[in-house]
Amino acid sequence: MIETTQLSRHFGSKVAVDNVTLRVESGKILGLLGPNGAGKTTMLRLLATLIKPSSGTAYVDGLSVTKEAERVRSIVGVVSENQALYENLTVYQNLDFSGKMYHVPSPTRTERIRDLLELFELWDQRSNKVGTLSKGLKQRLVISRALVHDPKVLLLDEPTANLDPQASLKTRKLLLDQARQDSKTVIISTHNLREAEKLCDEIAVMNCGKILAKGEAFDLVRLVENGEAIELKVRNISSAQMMGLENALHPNSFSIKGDVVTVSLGNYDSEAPKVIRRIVELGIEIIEARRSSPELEEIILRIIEETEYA
Amino acid sequence: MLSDIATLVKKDMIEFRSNKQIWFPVIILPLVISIGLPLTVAFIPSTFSVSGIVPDIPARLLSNLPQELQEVIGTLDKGEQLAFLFISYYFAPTFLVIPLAIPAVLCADSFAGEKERKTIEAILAAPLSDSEILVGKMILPLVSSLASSYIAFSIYSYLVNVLVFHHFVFPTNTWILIMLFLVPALTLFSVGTMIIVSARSKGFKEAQQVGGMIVLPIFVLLITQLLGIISMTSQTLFGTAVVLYAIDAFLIKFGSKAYSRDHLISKV
Repeated sequence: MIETTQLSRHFGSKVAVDNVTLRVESGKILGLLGPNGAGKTTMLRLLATLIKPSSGTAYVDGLSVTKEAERVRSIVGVVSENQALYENLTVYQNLDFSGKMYHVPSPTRTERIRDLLELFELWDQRSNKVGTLSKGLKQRLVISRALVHDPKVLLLDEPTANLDPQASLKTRKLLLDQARQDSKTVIISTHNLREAEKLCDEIAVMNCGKILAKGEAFDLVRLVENGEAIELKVRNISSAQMMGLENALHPNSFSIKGDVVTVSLGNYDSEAPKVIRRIVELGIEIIEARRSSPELEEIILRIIEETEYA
Repeated sequence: MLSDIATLVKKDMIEFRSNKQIWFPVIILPLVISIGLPLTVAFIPSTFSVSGIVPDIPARLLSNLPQELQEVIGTLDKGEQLAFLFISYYFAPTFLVIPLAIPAVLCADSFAGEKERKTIEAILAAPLSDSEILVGKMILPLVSSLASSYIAFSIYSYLVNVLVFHHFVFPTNTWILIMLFLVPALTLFSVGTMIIVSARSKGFKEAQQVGGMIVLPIFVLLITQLLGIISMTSQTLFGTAVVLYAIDAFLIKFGSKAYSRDHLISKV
């Protein structure tokens, strides 16, 4: 489990992480989303004890990041935005070095390295120098390295960057397995919103060092004003029906494209039946009705915009 | 703790072996000094008077030399005196370039190079203390420098005795003092300076360029010695070594603060 209370980090006058209070349960995956400079990497570095907090507290699996930093590091696997691989060392040597640094005993280390290399389809590359690998293969190695000591917590900064779709899918599956079966706590910083949607149990939107919103992707939709909509496929709307529609609904809350009427809703469950009833009362024939949610990307942008505006 | 340090050293050694940019100067420099200088004396006899014309050492020059050296020169044949003067006195500062230059190259790669390649982040994320990382990164430059210095010194001594003089005249007590006290002090001085330089520089090349200036005092020493301004007596050398150890302690303490996790990661 990861728990932070009013965690802050300043770099001179710049506030990189600002009073963040966060809780991620064991076996859960949290996605950190936000624009560049939002404070995601600093947040991960604080939890990995690479940097010290300016104020506030943070506990990783019950261990304080300030008082028990070395013990925290021993149970955390890190994938940084910089691949940080030794190009002159072979694939195997890179993993072996990391395993030794994390005090993985020799027989277990050999076995673990073999398993990971096979899992990430790097076994055939084991004797090759890392400098000769493609970006995608290097990224697979970076993720393998983060897992070499079987950490309880994974802190991943853009883990599937540079991976092809197949490898991304495999990595996502592996991360899900790790989180579910081994009860690992995972925090992923990513710009890949589809990945976050598929992978994460919860999403936290960060900007200017603050967590603006946190919850399941579905919950985040509700946080946004008119976040959801109903799409109605209708048959031939007359001018009179169009005017009736404008009187019945707020002009800014609906749009018509061809034969599809889209109506934005504050609360889908309570408002959708009312909207349908009014449209039917106007004599408009509904062929199909569909619940529509904005893309996660749009939700995040709107959360950030709304917060900045506020 | 020791196993962590050993792992770091081993990793640095593998990297060092596979990087010509580093090992080439580390091997070439001691070879040039340890083989090149005695060969120069041995094969240019007319210059250094091993055979052939035997010029006298000017009396004024002789009077500027340390008493102990004057006494040794007095025991040698006239044909050997000038060669011995160069071998045992004027070449000494050149030899001191090794313990300064080798750590400069290795530390620039080990400290600044890892920062530049961002690989330092993987080490910083591991369960090692700041001091373990610092010690682990210092060992290879220290050991390599000392090993190179002593191996070069052994080759130099062998060639001087066998090739130049054909009998045992070297090393003198002063040289033993240099090797036992001054060389380790200079190595530590170079390492301490380079930790600070590397922590502040952006990358390997910048650290190496700034670190290259560390050998400049040796050339000042060489010139002042030639001009007879300073005299490398045993007392002077021992005093210099003591002062250097004090400076080393300060440099390493100061460098360890500059090489902290928090400071390094903010530069990656």
